[in-house]
Amino acid sequence: MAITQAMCTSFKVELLSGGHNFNTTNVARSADTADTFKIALYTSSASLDSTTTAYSVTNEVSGTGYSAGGNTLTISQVPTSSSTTAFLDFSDTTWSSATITANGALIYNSTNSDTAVAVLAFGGDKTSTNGDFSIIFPAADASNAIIRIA
Amino acid sequence: MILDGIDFKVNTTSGRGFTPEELADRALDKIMYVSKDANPLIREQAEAFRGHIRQVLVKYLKQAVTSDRTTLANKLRDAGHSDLVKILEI
Repeated sequence: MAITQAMCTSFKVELLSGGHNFNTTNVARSADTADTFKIALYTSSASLDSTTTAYSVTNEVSGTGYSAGGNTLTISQVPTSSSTTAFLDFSDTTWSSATITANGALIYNSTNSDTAVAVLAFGGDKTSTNGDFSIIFPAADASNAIIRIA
Repeated sequence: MILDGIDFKVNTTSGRGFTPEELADRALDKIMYVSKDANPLIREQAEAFRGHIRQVLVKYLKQAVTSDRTTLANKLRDAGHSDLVKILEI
């Protein structure tokens, strides 16, 4: 089992099919409402990579302060662009007073049948014990943002 | 080409929450970034500014913690748990 950092291939295809909406304006769909994106944590027993297509409870983290499905992400930077790169960003997310160990995470679209967006590999087990477990997303710019299209 | 930002971080604590200093450093990364390739003079000024901003952030984050503890202490007293207020170390 292994968790390999990746932007899920299915996500790329679904983007081109209008399957994900990160914005609240200029939306091609009927309602100007962004989809709900979530982040779930996984143990080192999980197999996550670019071929992951959807959220699954298999080998998801369990423990105090963590609920199945993970945290809902806040879109802190709606899709925008700088030069020729489009990007968006999420706010950092924290599981408070948590006793959990995770090896990676999956960002997924809970509005669109829990379809996968991206896999985050932590590079090893990360543990919080009666403490805070935070994922800190990179700066919201064309060089660093978590999701970019160049 | 879709790119993924790999520079995310995972920060954890055990037996406590994050300190004002830790949160200030996290906030600073959102506020400003000093390129390693920047002109040394500009970089020096930027780093000095970053240090100043950090001091301001730490100061007000600590103030926020203290203020919230005051609020919590009053809620505990109102609920008849004055003994628990001591735990907040006010």
